Amino acid sequence: MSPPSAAPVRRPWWLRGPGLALAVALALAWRGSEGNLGTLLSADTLRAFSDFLGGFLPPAHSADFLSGIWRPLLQTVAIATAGMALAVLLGIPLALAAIDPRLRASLGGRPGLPSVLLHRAARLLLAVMRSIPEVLWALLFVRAVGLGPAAGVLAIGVAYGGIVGKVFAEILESTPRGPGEALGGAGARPLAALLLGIAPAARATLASYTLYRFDCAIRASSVLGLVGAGGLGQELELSLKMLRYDEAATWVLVLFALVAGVDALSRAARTRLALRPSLFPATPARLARDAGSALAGIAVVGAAARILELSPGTLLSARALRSMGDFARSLWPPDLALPFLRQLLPAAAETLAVSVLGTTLAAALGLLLALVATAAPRGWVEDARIGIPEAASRIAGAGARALMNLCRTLPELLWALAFVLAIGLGPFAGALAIGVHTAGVLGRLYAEALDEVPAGPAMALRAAGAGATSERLLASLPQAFAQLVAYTLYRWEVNIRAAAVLGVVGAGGLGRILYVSLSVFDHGRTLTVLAVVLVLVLAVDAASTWLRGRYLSSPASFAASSIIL
Amino acid sequence: MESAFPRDVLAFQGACRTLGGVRAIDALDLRVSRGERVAVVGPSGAGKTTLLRLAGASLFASGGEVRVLGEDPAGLPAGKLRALRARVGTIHQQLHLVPQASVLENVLLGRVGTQGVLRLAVAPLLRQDRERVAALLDRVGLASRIDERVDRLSGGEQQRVAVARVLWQEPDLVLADEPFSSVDPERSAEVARLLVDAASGRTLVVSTHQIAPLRDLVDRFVGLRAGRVLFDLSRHQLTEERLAALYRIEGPT
Repeated sequence: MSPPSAAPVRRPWWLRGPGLALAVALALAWRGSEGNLGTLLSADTLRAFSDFLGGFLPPAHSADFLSGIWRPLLQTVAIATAGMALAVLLGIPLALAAIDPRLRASLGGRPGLPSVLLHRAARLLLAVMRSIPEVLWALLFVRAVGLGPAAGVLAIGVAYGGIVGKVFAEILESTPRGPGEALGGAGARPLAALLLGIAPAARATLASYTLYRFDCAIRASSVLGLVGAGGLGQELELSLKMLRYDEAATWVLVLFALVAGVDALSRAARTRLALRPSLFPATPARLARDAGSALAGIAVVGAAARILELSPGTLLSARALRSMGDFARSLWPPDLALPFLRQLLPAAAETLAVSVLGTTLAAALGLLLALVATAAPRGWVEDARIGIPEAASRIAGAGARALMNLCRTLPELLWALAFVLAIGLGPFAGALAIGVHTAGVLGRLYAEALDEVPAGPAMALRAAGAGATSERLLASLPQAFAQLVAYTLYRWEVNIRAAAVLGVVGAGGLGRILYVSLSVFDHGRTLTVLAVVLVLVLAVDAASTWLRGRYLSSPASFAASSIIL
Repeated sequence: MESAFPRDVLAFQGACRTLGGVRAIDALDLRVSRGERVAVVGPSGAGKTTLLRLAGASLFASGGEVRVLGEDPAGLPAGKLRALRARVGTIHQQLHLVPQASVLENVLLGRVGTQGVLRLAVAPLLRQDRERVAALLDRVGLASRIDERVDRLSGGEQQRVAVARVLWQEPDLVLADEPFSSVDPERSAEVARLLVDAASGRTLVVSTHQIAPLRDLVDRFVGLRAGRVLFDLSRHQLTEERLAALYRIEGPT
């Protein structure tokens, strides 16, 4: 302990450089997103919200309506399935090419110039694929291959292929290397050492990540209908616009059930894979079972393609390829006229502001939800008073978790549609939409982080007579704080992508300009907007990485980034 | 390749290797001839593991000359290098088995240097391979565990799997890095016998700082200190004074 006089008086962090910079950024974001508490709390808005909530109950359940939801629902799941299959097909080879050359070297490879170039090219391709959000890919593919589910499948395949490729590479890079290195030392090819020595330890993580992505794909494909790429999005939009909120409620419930189902599937698959007694089937019976599972998987993807009336033949037919080629050619040259660029700059700023404000709202709301969700005393508390306060905190906790799930299940774009209907067109609706959706995601991550904090300091405070609230604020929160900030920054990277598409439903930013340019076939402008989106997204990624490195001593674990990317 | 089998399985001449700014191996001279059994002894940090990695061609010398089975690993093209590595079997200190694979699969992986992934994938279903591996496992006392997942085995049993894997590989040179480090002293003699049995008809280099289990089983003891050879003696020449000198603490460390 140093004497108190030795240390200069330090201002609290919120009065020093980073805190002040954050405050300025938030103020700018509020201005840039046209934030307005007046609108939000006006009588009109509140009435719209209450109509909304009132209209949801009871959800539509007439036999007529229910018999009509199967087809769009099936189509949505089929788009997600076929899109995810494409994403994995694209992602795996790209992941293998994008793997750190140092890992290849430790597996006994000798990276030469070609493999280094291949690595760079794969990284770049993955960055472009995942930096353009799936809804923008869908807009492009709708132009390239026409309206319908094919555009949705291609959009999910390309955008998620980029994410899957990057994350698979990261999972393999962060898996223990010893077994793989030993195989490389025994003369294995680097790829064989990777497959036999490293992939086995990663397989459960790879599988559960793929299923998590499938869950995202279902949610994504439920909005692709908004841009004409098939699925239930169109029906949902129609229900909302015709003020049939009871129908919208049914759609949301169905979506909710679907996502929960995939979650359960993911947990089962993970357990089954983790318990497998060997890498390869050791008996003919096991071989038959594994072959059966593989065939079933192929059959599901085949059925999805059939439902969508897609086949590799039609997707890769001369006509389809010509149409895609024509579209790609029509993008060149980009429109670099000064007036257009002048119009883009404020739109880009608006998109950035929406992402910042949305993330901030989400962090505040998410933290609140997380604190409520984790308020019930944990198992280690010996003096747990069983009584009304505890029962109340458990109920509140369950309620908070349910609310977070609801926020999370609906994609930003649907929230944006709802907010545009309630408070009118403009970026503020976009920021609120991102805020609400992300609050669900961050709330869950925050709650997990708060739950996993070492219990020692909290116990010590308890023993010194602290109450539940001060224990949480003074013991749990400080320990988890760096992780919460890391999660928030990761999520900002996701939200800049989301903010770039909200214009499609009238919630401001670059998305609107892109939507217009595509609608009027001004493809030179389309390419310029895409380039601006790409630059903006990559800049935010870089800023987030820099902030994490600069202000957080421990980089967030890989697991964290994989859950929310 | 087999016809050109050199007399010296290992030939180090003024070999150096720097790791993380430290000279782990420093101007080291060492020859091991065919069929010899050599123990490399020395305190922690003497460079034993680095020496073994150079001998296994998974690390290259940064100076001087290293020849493994007559070849200079650093100068070999990728395919030839893999073929050379396939002729050296290593039992690592941490074993580095594939925890999610069965005992059978881990043994089969010994031939990963000469067999493709597909061949290895079907091997558990081939009766001939299975029977041969079962015979090897019998030799190391694990016959009943062939279909068990390796991470369910005890440390000692896993070490036997690693020995069986090297047996299946059928290398010309067997390297064992600190094989007694995770075994209690009374089992060390057993492990030593297992190793020597596995290396019968081949060349064996063992690194260790426990001399007792190998006292009567190896031909030579090479004392390593700070990356250099302090002594290179036949087992009859090795005296307590020599060993004491090897482990003497010099100055502040």
